[in-house]
Amino acid sequence: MFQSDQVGIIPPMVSLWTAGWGWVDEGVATTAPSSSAWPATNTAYYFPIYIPTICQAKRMWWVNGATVDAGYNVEAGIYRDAGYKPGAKLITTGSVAQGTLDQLQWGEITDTTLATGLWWLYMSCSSSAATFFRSLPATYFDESFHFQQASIGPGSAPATATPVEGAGLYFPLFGFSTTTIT
Amino acid sequence: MSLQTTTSVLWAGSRHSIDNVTNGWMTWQAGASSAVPAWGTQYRAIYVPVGVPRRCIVLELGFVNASTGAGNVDVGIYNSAGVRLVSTGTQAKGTTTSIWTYNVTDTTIGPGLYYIALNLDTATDTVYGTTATAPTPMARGLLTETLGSITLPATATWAYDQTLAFVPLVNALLVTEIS
Repeated sequence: MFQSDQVGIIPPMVSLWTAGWGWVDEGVATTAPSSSAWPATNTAYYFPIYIPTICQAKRMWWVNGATVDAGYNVEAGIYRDAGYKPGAKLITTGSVAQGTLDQLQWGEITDTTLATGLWWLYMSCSSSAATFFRSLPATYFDESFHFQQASIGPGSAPATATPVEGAGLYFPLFGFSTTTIT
Repeated sequence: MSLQTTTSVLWAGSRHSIDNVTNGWMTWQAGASSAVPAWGTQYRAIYVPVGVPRRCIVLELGFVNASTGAGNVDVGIYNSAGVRLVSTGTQAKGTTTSIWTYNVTDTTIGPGLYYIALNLDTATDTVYGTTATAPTPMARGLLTETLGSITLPATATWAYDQTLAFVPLVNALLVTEIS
């Protein structure tokens, strides 16, 4: 997760794929991102991300897959770390209707400053029929790289996470933008 | 400044180039493969983000050429506000498969976020890169701009392209790192 000579430089798009910030490209995933159904209705997932330099999250984003419906809802956000687990909620988009298929979708948030350290990206969806771009992790990496929480639908991100160990092979392509370019 | 002169002030162990694999926050993603996609759209400039780790002087800008093409290219570097700092101007692309670089006016940049831009005037011309299902290049911060000519603009008007489906491996440039 660490590229020493890139420290201090803020990339425009931050995700689990961002070298030096995320980790998916570093031998953890076995496939390029592609469309796949959300693992479980109203289930939230938390993924660790390392912020090597202070930055500002200006928008959340995710990548819709081949099957979408405006009746499906999505929520994405950022949680604080609490002893190497997701802790208190920092910021989320609230519930957002899923947009256009095979497109990156923005989710508005208040500009939020992130200090150096470990943070957790959060995403939930109201339907297991909704699809998003994701990569498959190698099986033995799965539980090591995320937590999850059942009965958490979009719009109900908990003030404090009470996660359990992750299960299932699903690393969604999502994150935050440090710019407002559209 | 000649390359011979500048090598004398290279930092020990420092690199002499910046490119979008090493400095683009995008490792060669799982499932990706080297490809020679056609440019696709005449005068669609692609801007690839790179992190420049230290103060350095840009001597040349370039890309990795592929064999199809009789058109022209323009390669440039922009700051994070979209201002063009230097560019090669119109250059014949040619058909030789190799890294092509062009001298530019020595230009000091860094550290920080920059965009290296490539524009082609022929949609069927090919360059080396990696295919990536749209819109994953957008998710990696690549920006585009449809221009009316081959010349890269003094100030970019950036947009994300939800249909961009490849990442050009085009952005090698020679630099000299200075203190």
